[in-house]
Amino acid sequence: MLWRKHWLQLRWLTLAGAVLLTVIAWITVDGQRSASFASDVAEIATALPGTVTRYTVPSPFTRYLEAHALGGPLQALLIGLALCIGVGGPGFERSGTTAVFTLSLPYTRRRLVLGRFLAAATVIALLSIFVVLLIAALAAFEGQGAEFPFAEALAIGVCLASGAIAVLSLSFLLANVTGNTIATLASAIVILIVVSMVVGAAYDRWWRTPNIWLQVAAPFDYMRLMGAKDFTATSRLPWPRIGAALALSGALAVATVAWVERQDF
Amino acid sequence: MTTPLAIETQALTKQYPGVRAIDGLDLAVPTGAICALIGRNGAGKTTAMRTLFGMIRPTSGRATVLGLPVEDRHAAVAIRRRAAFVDPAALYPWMTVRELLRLARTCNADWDRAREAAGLAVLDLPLARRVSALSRGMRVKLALLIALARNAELFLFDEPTEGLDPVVRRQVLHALVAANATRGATLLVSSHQLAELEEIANWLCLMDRGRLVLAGDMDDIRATHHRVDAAWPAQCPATLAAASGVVSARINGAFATLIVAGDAHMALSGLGATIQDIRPATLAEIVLAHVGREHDEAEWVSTGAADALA
Repeated sequence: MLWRKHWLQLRWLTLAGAVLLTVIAWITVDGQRSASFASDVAEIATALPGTVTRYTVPSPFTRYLEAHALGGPLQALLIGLALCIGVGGPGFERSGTTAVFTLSLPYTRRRLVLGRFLAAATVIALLSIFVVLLIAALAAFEGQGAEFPFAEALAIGVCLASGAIAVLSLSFLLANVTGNTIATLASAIVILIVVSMVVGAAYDRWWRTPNIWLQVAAPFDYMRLMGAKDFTATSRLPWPRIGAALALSGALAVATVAWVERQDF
Repeated sequence: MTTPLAIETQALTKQYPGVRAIDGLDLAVPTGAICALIGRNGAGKTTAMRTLFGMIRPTSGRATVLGLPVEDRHAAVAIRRRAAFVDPAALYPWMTVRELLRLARTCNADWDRAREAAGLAVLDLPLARRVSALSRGMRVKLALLIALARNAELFLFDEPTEGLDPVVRRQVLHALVAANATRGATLLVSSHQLAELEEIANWLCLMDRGRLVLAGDMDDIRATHHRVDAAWPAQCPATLAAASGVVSARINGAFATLIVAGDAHMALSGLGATIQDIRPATLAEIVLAHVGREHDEAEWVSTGAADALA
């Protein structure tokens, strides 16, 4: 019922996100193909009267993806999309005029808030998984399917999605508290920068300083999660980080419900 | 047998920091009534309506709508299922008319497709157009269509005809009266258009500074309020405004224009007045008499405050 409303609200942003992610996927696969071409250089050079002055062993597809996409433009774009898609909900509508219509629908505020949150979370999760599956499909099309199998792509998609949902839930809470798009995005970006600095420091010092607070903070390194660093290093899903991200998302969604339920419209 | 109440509040209060929007409101609207909720700007009408619909949490007091307590979360959902809050400005601007109707249809189990179709045929709404591109009149029609097709038992309208041309205004008023007449729906209409309200309403609730100052059957109120032109041999008595039954008095030397509640002759009998003219007061005169506060304004002007501000 309300899913349709949420979809109509998010459709253009979703479509724009899908287009941008497709472009990034294409650039990523194209860039990896160019990089892998270097492996043929040595062989070509021996057949010709030339000298190889510089030669770097190309990294596997997953490593390339981690270094050039997941840790760069792909992650940045997904964070940006999560922030934008998270802007909404009854509390946010209070600044406009539509909150009255939303709250006149025969549903509890909890259901209205959680419905909007779940719809947005589903959209960002699907976009996250879509882009890595698209990269895997393009890689297969380029004859590099063995380098980046779909199972690996799906695992990386799960990492991306859980991190993106955590970012989205932060944006969702801020949007419902401030009721202002600019204030939401600005404050969310500041919080994300601070968190990345703190949890980054936590991870770096994890083994050196046995500080309990840093150990608690370390699983919330959303950039490491979205960068799939743990997965590419161990080929195993980082369940503690995924769990921490989803638990944080749930907590922020519950906080949003509590906030909206206390508000007058 | 007494008529059951569609809306009832007891000592309902809403306190904001520095301002009491509703101050001990005791409202009682019978089922099936068309109730005019009248008051000056800032009297607390919109706050009261939104509180009744569960959008604003009261600070104290209690309220029931269709017999259900608004403070209870689940009862509030049941109220929203059976009642409609009509606010044309609140319609989603990014949806088309068709999409909005579809949303409303799926959200309301009692949606009446036949009424929707009949309304669309009469109201001439462009289904493919976005709500943001609709005129004010079109938005009012759409909001009204959604409310009517929901088969609501209670309609809350906040300024339904504000900014409408006479033709659309007439259509809206006709639809409201029809909903009341054919289905026995209760209507609570907040508006400053007193002439319109006088035409359609049969119950009056007059609010001022968050309180209910006058309430009851419209015919009874009109029958008991009179405008009286009175004269005295010399000067009007100083106690005139405080006399029993006198709601307001505009004094000009030995003459006074009074709005009197109850028996005018009895009210003025002990004051030595000669009644020059007596006639039923209009709704506008009754409202002004109760909430006009002409004395306050006259005092404000006479103190020179206006000059100081200028």
